[in-house]
Amino acid sequence: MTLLSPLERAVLNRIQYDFPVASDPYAVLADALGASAEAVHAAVLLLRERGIIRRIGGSFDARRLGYVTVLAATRVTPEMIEAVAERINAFPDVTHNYERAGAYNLWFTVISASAARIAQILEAVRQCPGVEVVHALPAERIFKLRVDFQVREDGDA
Amino acid sequence: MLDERDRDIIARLCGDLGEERRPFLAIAEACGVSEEELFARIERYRAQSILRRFGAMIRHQRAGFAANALSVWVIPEAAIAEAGEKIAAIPEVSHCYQRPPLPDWPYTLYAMIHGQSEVECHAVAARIAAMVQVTDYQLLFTRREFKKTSRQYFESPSDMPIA
Repeated sequence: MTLLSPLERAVLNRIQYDFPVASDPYAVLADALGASAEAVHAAVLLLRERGIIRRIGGSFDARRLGYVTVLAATRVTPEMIEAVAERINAFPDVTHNYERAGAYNLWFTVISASAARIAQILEAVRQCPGVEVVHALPAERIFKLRVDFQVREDGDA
Repeated sequence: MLDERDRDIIARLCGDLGEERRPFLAIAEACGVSEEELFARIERYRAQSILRRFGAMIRHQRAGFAANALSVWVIPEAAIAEAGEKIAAIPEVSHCYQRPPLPDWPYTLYAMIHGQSEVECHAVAARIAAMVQVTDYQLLFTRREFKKTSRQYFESPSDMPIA
């Protein structure tokens, strides 16, 4: 658990939702948070260094950019799961890949320029030793898609 | 519609802004536009919902979410819209999608639940179950994270969707 200072907490709470798109973004944040631009900039640099901030950038809607997405439910022999995960991760189209408890034990998301490319990737995964089955589960309806969370105000964050 | 310059700008905005005090200046220069032009285009991406968010991506586990579960629910087609809206309103749920069932997997609603512990995730699921009156569900806890990245768009000629 990592202890955050009040300023770090305030900065994270603000910039995870909205980093100012402005010439001097740290001055805009400073105005909003009641600190100096230098202090806010230094806090962000430190949060990066500690690995709490992975990156600052845009989160785009894959579908609106013309890309096709799918969640793949996979069943893999437990001894082979690491090797299979490594093979899956090698595709730049794969953004998330998790081992989960349950009948399907490996779940990954694919974002590709075409449905044909997704089919190709899933087929390549099916050919990996240890892979029993790969199912494509496209989203039929999206009720919620939120990327990040409020850092809690209480206790260790 | 996105032109070639938009695709170049978006490709760069998918990356990391960097540590500079004026981080947008370098991007504007690299794309051959003024900062003002860059800001105007970013505002347009926002207005068109192409850009969902511009901000810091934080590491959940380091920021205090110790347990993450993909909850899956058996919900009849006719009840999905209402259940989906209700589940989406829960703050501990980050993603909520309808997906097709499989022959051996009847679940049609998927919701990511985040909590400080597995017990906390189970409590959220119990709340959902009571709210949408569904008893057939599972929590698939994250055992290992093998990959979690943001997609880089428009990076190479072979990765362009057909417009």
